[in-house]
Amino acid sequence: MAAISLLNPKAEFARAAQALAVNISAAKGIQDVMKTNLGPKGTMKMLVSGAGDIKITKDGNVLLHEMQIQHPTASLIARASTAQDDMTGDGTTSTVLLIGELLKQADLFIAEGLHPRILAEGFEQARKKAIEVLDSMKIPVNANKEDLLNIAKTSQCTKVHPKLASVLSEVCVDAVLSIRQDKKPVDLHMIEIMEMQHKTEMETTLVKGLVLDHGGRHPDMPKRVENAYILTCNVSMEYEKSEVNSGFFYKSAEEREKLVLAEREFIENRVKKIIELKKKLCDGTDKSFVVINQKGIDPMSLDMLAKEGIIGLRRAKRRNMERLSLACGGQAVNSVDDLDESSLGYAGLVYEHVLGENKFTFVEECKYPQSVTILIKAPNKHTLAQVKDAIRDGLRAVNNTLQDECVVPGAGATEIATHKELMKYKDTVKGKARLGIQAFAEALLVIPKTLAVNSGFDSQDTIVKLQEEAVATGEAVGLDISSGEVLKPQEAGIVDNFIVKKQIINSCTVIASNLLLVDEIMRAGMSSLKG
Amino acid sequence: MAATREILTLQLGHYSNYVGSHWWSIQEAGFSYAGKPSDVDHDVLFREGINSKGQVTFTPRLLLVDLKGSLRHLRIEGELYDVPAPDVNEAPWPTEKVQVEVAPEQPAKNEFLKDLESGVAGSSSAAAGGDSTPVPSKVYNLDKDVKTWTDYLVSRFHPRTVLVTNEYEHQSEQQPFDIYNYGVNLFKNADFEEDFTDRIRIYMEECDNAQGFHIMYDGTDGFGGVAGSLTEHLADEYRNKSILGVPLISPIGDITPIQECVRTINFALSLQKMCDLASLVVPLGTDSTNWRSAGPARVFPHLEYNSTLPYHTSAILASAIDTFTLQYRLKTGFDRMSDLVDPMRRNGRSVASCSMGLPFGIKEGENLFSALEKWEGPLWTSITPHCNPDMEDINQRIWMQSVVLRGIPQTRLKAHQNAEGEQPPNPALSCDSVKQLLQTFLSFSSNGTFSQVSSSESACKVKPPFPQIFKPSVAINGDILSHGSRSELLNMREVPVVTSLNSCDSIQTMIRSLHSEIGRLNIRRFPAYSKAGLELDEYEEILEQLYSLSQNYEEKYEL
Ligand SMILES: Nc1ncnc2c1ncn2[C@@H]1O[C@H](COP(=O)(O)OP(=O)(O)OP(=O)(O)O)[C@@H](O)[C@H]1O
Ligand SMILES: [Mg+2]
Repeated sequence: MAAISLLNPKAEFARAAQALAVNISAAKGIQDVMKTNLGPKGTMKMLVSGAGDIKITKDGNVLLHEMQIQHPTASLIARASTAQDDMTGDGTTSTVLLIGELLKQADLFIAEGLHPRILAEGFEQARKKAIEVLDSMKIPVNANKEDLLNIAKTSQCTKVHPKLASVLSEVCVDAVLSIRQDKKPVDLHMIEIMEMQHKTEMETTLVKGLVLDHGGRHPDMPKRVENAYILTCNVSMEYEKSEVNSGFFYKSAEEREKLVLAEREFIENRVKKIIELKKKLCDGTDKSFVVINQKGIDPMSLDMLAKEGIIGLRRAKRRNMERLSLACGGQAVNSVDDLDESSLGYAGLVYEHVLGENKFTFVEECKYPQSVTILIKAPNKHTLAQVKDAIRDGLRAVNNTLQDECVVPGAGATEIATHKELMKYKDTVKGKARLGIQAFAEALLVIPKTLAVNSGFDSQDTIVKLQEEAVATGEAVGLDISSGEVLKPQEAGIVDNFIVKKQIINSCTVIASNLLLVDEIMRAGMSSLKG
Repeated sequence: MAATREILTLQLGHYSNYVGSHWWSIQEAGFSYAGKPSDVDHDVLFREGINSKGQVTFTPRLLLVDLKGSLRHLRIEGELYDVPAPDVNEAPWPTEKVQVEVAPEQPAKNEFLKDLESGVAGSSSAAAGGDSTPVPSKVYNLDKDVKTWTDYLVSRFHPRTVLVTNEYEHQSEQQPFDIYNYGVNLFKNADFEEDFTDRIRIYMEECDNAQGFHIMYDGTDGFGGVAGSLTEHLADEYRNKSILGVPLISPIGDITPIQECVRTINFALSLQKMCDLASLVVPLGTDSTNWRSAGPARVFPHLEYNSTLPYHTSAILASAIDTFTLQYRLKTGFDRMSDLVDPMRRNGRSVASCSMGLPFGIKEGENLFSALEKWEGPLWTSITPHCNPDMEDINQRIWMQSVVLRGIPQTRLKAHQNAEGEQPPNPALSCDSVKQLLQTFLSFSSNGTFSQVSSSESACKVKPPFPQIFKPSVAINGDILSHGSRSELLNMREVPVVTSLNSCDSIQTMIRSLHSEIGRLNIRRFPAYSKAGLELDEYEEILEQLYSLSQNYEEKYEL
């Protein structure tokens, strides 16, 4: 490359300019697609595949995964946005909008001859300042239900209709609060999300225990027991032909039969040990016994269990081993030798629910459940998927809040305030980098502007109103999406996660700068874009 | 132990789904609703279910993976369970704020699919009993119409079957799924892994007496990595279940030299991994050699096929899979998959090759005894690239073979013996089953090969959508006509097939040539691998293990 530029410096410059133009137009393109989704008044997209499969979503990240993105720049932006989702679970639409807007604003200055490198420097200074402003806007949050409901509701209202949003935010907050200990954020894996294609999404509930997607496989097994010991194990209870058994040289039928019996007896002994313990603990009392196994249980073993009135479930999820002991107490065991009461858990109620060919087992009335289940109900697959996505977002929002111990005002408030501060700050900066700061400040306004447009209001009018009010009161002000007037987000309970906003500012700055410094990217080769 | 010996089948990748599409339709064509019940136990590979309307369903116990944009007319959820029509009002959101985006119109369905929908074609005919006189039926030529495996898919799937990953796009040039480690990484993606392994678990939970897994996968692209990681999961979670790995090698097509290298590297990486973890690995492809560039296509004496059309080649491979798996899915036998794979992989010989006679090649009016007696040349053609086991070559070693012959009924075993005593005594004449007769024949014609033989009366069903690849000298029942040719107005119905899985020293030749082929390539020149997480020493270690795998095929004198 160096050799070429020596020969003809203009060639490279021209190529770089061209590449920049391409980047900017790609960023605008993807911004246009996503713009309409932003906020509670955004557009719901219903994607119908060629064969008739449906996907309904308003979520930026889900959409990005469904879209066919060909252009490398667009796919770079999409990946930044996905990274945003991996890290925080939210803010993907804003990320795409902001990167697009940063490039658009930059374009205006570049057209007037400003070098992209200077703009990028300005962006970096602005980013630092913006984070300071964001820090100053933190609203401390206690881990009480009311505060957490605000964040959950704000998040859910951008994904599903308000009635459902109320149901889901309640479920999310309760789920997190019920398993939280020592003021720490919770391990969200310990909240099982189970889908049931049945009834309506309004009946989505929190079960303080576990719901498993399988049931007993024996006609005589009880369908419902109370006061149950729960044995969680990872022990094969099915007859397996061992390696010795299937030798190269064929054994006589009798010999084979003998080996089968020996093997069978080996498995039978395992089941007998469980039955022994059950007899010792339950016989003559009102207690019952449930075995939940990660490995298989064959029909003969099921039969033995059923005869004793034991519910035996096979092939439980690996992760449910951990969840079960958190929900019911006890410990998952890998062997049935030396089995005793101390490894068992407890549930007040265990029952089976059959839906067509699917069975569900509810393990409920646990004493101190540290693992719970959100049971999603909906009449069809695509609604199940939509609700599941919303719930995941909601849980993350609640957990982020516990982690941050604060929130920031939403409805465009942080962007308006940051814009205001950056415009002041830019005057204190010497040199052309201040133009970068100005571009950055203008770009931030894309969020309140888009919220306004999506709610049916004029973006200019709205921005002017918000800015005037912000200057007049010196407080955080946001957009009331139903009236187009100014509101105080904190009072209205419209709050966003601090970490989400922070991450948006950081990652958008990096990506936008990289796209501006396109000649360097070209040097690294397109392959780095593919990375 | 009369319980069903269930098997879960996994199809990973586009070409595997081509093969699978054929395979399931061959099987469904063999369902007999009337007449003599088939000796194939369909419960092994299919599952019975019940949909929300209370109707009983019978669908493949199958989980398949493909990339975004590969399904065309196929709905992910299938049609058997609940069919919600798209409706704007259904999204509980202000209607004016709902934007419906319908994917670009798909090209029209081909004639076969249309007829299938309206019930003209493929209606698993009552004539499957096989004795009615042939009636002219619609003859399809789909060679030009088939663009993807769903274009001739007859089977209807359970909603749990189809898994499409959104991470990669089918035939994308921007971001092709063409590196082994892309597949490894895809499996690391928590959502993908959870969805994938959960579906497997739910299938396995339903089984009372599962034998194990069939894993058919595209061996030359990223799906090799998916197969490797999946097998690792299965070997860990379902210990003691057998795993049969079938790496499939698609027709090479028009690709760049770099892509040729990458294909070969992918194949080597996945082969090594599978051999480590699966019970047995049987690579299949219709080209005689395959590293970098394809050698001449395999020749079958009674076939005329286009070796560059996946629609054709996948049908050939599907009939092989349908046949050699019969050993452990017959109602008349007790064998499990482990009875095939465990003896075969003795001494770490975890790769086997496959040969097939399609059709078996018995002449019109002839019986099995006289056919074998008069047989000239090999019984079958190898469909494992680079492997050419030959029973008659005394310099080759075939330690073990597992042979399945199907479609020769007991009544066709031998001529009625009336002239006893006049012929020279032939031990084969005292055989009174197809299995015995073939076993005897093989013991005479091979040197020191241990042969396991199974037989089934059910011929391989090759009616549409099976492609028209049979020469005109093959009758609709698979017999070879001694003169004249089959009417063009008739569809093929069924053919006898023979397959042989071999543990032989020819496999060493294959692995060695693969090893030296990629040994010549400098992996650093393919940075995509290291970017996707393949370490240099890891790669070298894999090469070494590949070599030591080949050493397992050296003759060790055993007692
Ligand atoms: N009731 C409300 N009134 C005004 N603005 C709101 C309200 N609820 C949320 N917002 C604003 O909407 C924006 C979030 O919109 P949305 O959730 O659709 O997009 P996102 O978070 O950027 O991306 P994602 O699709 O990943 O959620 C935030 O700026 C938030 O402050
Ligand atoms: Mg959001």
